[in-house]
Amino acid sequence: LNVNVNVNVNVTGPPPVRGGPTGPEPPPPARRILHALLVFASVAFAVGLLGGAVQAGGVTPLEFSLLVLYALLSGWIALSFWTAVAGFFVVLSRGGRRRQTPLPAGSSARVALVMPIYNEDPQRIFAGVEAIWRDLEGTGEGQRFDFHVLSDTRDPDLWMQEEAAWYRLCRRLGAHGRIFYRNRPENTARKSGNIAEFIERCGAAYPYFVILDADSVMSGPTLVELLARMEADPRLGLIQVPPVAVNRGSLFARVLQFAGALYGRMYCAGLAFWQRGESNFWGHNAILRTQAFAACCALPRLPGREPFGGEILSHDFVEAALLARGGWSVVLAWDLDGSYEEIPPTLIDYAKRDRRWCQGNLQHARIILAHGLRLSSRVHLAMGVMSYVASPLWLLFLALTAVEAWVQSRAVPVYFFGDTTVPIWPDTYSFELTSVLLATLVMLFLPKLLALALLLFDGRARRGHGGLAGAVGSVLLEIVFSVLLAPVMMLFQSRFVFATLARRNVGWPAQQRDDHATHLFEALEAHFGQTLLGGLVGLWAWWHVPDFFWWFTPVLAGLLLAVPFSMLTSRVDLGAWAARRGLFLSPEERERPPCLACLDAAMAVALPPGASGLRRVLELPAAASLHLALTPPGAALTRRESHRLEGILLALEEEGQAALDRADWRFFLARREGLALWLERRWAALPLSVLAGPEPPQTQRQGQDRGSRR
Amino acid sequence: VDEELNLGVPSRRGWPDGVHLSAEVRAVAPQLLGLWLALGVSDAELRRQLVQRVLRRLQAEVERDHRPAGRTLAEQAVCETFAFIDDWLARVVGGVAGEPPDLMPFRAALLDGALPDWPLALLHPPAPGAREILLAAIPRPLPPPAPLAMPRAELRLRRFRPAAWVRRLLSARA
Repeated sequence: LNVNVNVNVNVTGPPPVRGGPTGPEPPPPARRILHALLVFASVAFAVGLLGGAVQAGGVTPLEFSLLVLYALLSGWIALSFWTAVAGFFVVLSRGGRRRQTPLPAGSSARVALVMPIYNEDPQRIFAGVEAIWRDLEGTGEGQRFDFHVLSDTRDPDLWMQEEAAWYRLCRRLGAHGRIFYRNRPENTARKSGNIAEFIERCGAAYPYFVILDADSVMSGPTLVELLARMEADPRLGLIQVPPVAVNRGSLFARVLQFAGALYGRMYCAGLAFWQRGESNFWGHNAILRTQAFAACCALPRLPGREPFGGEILSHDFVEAALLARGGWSVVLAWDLDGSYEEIPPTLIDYAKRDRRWCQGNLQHARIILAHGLRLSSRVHLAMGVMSYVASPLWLLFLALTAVEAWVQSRAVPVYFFGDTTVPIWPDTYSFELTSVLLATLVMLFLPKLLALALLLFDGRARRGHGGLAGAVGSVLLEIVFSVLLAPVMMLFQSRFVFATLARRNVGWPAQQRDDHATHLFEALEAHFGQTLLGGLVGLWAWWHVPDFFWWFTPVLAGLLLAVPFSMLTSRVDLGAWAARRGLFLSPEERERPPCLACLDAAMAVALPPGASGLRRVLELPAAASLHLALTPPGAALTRRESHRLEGILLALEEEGQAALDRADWRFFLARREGLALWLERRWAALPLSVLAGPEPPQTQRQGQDRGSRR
Repeated sequence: VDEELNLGVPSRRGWPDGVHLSAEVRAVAPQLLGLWLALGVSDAELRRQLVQRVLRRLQAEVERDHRPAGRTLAEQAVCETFAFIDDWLARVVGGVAGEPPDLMPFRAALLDGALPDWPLALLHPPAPGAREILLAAIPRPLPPPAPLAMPRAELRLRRFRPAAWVRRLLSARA
C-alpha cells in the first residue's frame, strides 16, 4: 500500500519530501463508504417520495427541475446530518477524554507561532500574543516556541501602531529575540504569500509552525500537545484544531458562539470519523510540518483573471489538498480544546465576511477536478463551493415551488372522464409530501437534539451551557434565530454568488471585529431590498396562492423582520441580558480558560493617550527612532526618489498628514532618509511656544509608552 | 531660554569651560530644548547640560566650517543631537566585532528608556553593564536567516469547455 501511494505521489504531484512520510495513514474506506451510502440512501428515499407525488400525469419540466434541485439540496443536508450522527456516536464512545501524547525524550524541536495580519487592531493582536506567551510559559515548554507576527498591513497608522505595540510587548515580557515582527513592503499573494515569505526567510529553523489568525488564541497545553503529536508521527503534515468562537458580547455573536460550542465538537468528530488522515485545513489554529508545507504548498497563480483566476484566495483548502497529494496526513484533532477565535459581532459583518469567503470558495470550482488530487480533497473543495452555491439553489427551489403552487392552483379538477358517470377523485399524495417534509425536518433538527443528549453524559459541558434547562431553552431560541437568519443569508449569499459569477471582484477587505451596534441606516441599506422582496412575494402569495402562503411564512418572516432582527441582534446589552438569564452560555464563559483570562487582562491595559501611530512617529523622536531601527538601511536614493521625498516632506510641512496618500506614506516610511529628514526639519522649525506647552507624558525614568504631547 | 540655559551670563569667552558660542549657534538653543523635552528629559538642569553639550559640538563644527549644503544651522543642531547620542552609544557598544554596528536599534532602546537615567548617563562615560542592558533591549524584528526553498506547486487544471466537447462530439459523429 505504501509503495502504491508513493508511486502515485511521484506521478501526480511533487516528489515526497526527503525524510518525509513513510506513507499516509491507511485510509478507512469502510467509513467513507458507509457515510456515502447513508447520504445517498437518504436522498434516494426523499426524492423517491417526492417523485411519486409529482409524477402523476407525467413529470413536467418544472417538476423535473424541482426534483433535481431537491436531490441536490437534500444531499447537502443529508451529508451534514450523517456527519452529525457519526460525531454523536464518536463523542459518546470517547466521552471527554483527550489523548495525551508525551514529548519524545531528547526532542528539541522548535515551533514558530506565525500570525499573518492585515490591517487589524494592534492592541488585540499583541494581547493575543501575550496571552499565548504567558500560557506557554506555564507549560514549562515555552522556550521551544517563537512568535512571528507577519504584517501585511497597508494602513500606515496601523503599521506604526503595530511596531510600537510589538516593542512594548517585547519590553514587558523580556521577549526580545523570541517575538519577531516585520511589515512586508509588498503584500504579494496576500496571506499565502505572507506565509511563504516567512518560510523562505527562516523556515529551516523550525520543524513545525502554527498558523494563527489575528483573533486566534491557543492554549499552551494544546500547543505542546500538537508538538508532541507531530513529533510522534512522522506522517503527519498538518493537525487542525477546531477553533471555538469566544469573546463577542452581541446577541448575534452569543447565539453563534453557543451553537458552535454545543454542536461544533460533535460535527468535528463526525468529520474526523469519515475524513481521518485526509481532513481539511481551515487556515488557522493548526500546526504544520514546515518541510512538508514548503515542498507542497507554494501555491501557483491560476490562469485567467480574477475572480476565478489569479491568486488563490482561500488558500487553506488547496494547501490541505496539496499536502494530501504529497502523501502527508492532514488530521482534524476534534478531541483537543484550547483553540479559540472571534467571530463577526453583527449580521452585516457576518455577511461581509461571507462575501470574501464566497469568492475564494467559488474559485475552488476550477480546482476540484485538477489532476492528481485525492478524492477526499475534491470532496472538501466541492463542499466549500456548495456551502455558497446552496443559497441560490434554495432560492431557485423556493421560486419554482411557488410557481408550481400557482400552476396547481389554477388547474381545475376533472372528476368525469369520457362516458363514465362515476366521479374519479384526484389522487392525494399527502402521505408522501408529509414524509418528505418530516424527513427534511429530522435531518435539520435532530442533530441539535443529539447535541443536547450529549450534555447528559458530560457534566462540565452541561454546567457550562447553563444546565440542561438553560441549554434546552437556548436551543429552542437558537432554532427561531436560525429560521429568521436563514432567508436573509440565503439572499446575501445568492447575491455574492451572482456577483462573483459576473466577475465582479469583491476584494479582500479587513474585518471589523469589535462589538458595535448596527444603526438604522446601516440596517436599511443592507436589508431594505430583502424586506421589500419579502413583502412583494408575500402579497403575491397571499393573493394568488393563499393556501401556499402559510408554507412560506418562515421565509417571509425572516425577510420582513430583517431590519429589526439585524439591529436587535447586534446589541451587546441584549447579549448580556440573555447571559444573565442563563441563555446562550458557553463553557468558556463559566470557567474561563487561563489563556483567555490572560487575553482579558492584556486587553484591559489602557492604550497611551493619542495613540495614533503616525502622530507618535512624527512627533516623538523616540517613536521615530524605533521605526528607523526597524527600517533596514537601503541603497542611496536616486535623484527621482530624492525629489519625491522632498515633495512628500513639503506636503507634510505645509498641509499636514492628510496630504499624503497610502503610497506616499509607504514611500516615506520605508526609507530611513524620509523620517530622519523629517526629524531634522520638524525640530529645527520648532516654535518657542512648545516650551510653554504641557510636559511630555513621561520622564526619562518612566520607561515606555510615551504619548503624543501635542 | 537664555535664562534656562544660563546663556545670558557667560564670561567674555562664553561658558565657564571656555568654549565660545557664537550668537548664531546660541540662536538654535530653543529648538534643542524642545527636542530634549520631546525626548522625555523633563529635568530642567539635565536638559540644560545636554543642550550645552550639543551646542558645543555644533560650535566646533561651525568653526571647522563644516556646514552641509542645504541644511540650516537648526537642522544641523538636531542632527548634532542625534550624533551626540550615537557617539555615546558607539562607545557603549564599541566592543562589537566586524563592521561598525547599526546604532539605530541601540538608539531606539536607549530613547525608550531601556537604560535607567539615560539622559544623565549621556553626560558621563558609559557605565559598566550598560552595553548588556542595551543589547538585551534592542529591537530584534527578525531572527537569523534560515531559508527554506518553496518550489512552486504544480496544479494542472482540467479545462471545462462545453462548446469544445459538443464540437468534438459532432465531428466524431460526422
